[in-house]
Amino acid sequence: MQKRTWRRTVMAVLCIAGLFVIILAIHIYIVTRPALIDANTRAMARIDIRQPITQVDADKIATWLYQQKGVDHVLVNPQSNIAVFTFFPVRTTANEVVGNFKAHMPYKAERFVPSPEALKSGCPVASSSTTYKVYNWLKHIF
Amino acid sequence: MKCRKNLTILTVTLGIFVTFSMLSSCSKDSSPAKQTLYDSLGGTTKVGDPANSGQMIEKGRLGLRSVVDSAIFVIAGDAAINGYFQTLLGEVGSGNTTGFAALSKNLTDFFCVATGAKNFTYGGKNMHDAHDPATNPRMNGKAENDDFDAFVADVVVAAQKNGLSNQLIGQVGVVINSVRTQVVQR
Repeated sequence: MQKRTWRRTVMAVLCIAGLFVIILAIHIYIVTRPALIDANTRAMARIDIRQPITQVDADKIATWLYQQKGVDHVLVNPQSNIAVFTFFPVRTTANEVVGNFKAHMPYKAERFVPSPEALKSGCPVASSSTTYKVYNWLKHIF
Repeated sequence: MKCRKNLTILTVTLGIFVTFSMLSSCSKDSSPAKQTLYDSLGGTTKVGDPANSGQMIEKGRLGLRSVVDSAIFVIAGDAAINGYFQTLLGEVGSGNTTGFAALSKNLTDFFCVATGAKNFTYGGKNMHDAHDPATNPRMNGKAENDDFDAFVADVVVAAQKNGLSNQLIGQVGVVINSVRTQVVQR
């Protein structure tokens, strides 16, 4: 009788533990699944102007970029001849913006795309790997 | 008789305990909580998030994120140090967040924690390990003082663009400079 009670107790504990593991697994999946691109997602791109520009040129370039569909924010540095802008990938692409720039603006320019090696180096500040996401979630719980 | 004695002892003990509790809570209430830099930048008051319609954000975090995003733009256009931050030009791929969004979030988290925010965590490496090529393979060399100075200058430009007072900019500068010796390892 006592043995049966113990067995039932152990089974019950195992079932509850199993349920918790399933809930944990579902939550880990929700936390770590790849983020979807939505209307709020912004990406950054860079245009290198292949000629010296003045502040007047920088203002013209910034004004033109702001008029492009999907462009969110722009900064043009006349000292480094660099224009950076953020855009909404659901509305446009960096190549489309840069292509229009080269077609309609009187400046020699190329889109700067970092190499795969360059993307693997430099400052990401914090990891965004799956392990980090799980660690961050567990830290938040405990 | 014995019961009455025990009851008396219990009552006196409880009375002493309650008295001490009230005194200690009074002393806690009499000294106001110290205002952090995060509080000065807006604190925990919730406001609508202009970058995510329908969501709320702490005012302090919104202020810091605005400065961080502006700083990212200035850095991206600064030939002196933009080589260290090419990751923010990473495109959307495999359903992951963009390089810009990841760096914006992570830097904002870092500054929120560094300025005293209680509701955020920074889960990255400490500043020394993050900038030591031996412990962070992403670092292809050790940073110099000139690089750090350029970073600080770009953050100051960003803070000015966002209308921070000189006093607040100075305080943010103190926070950033507090990690100089950890970041600059050459």
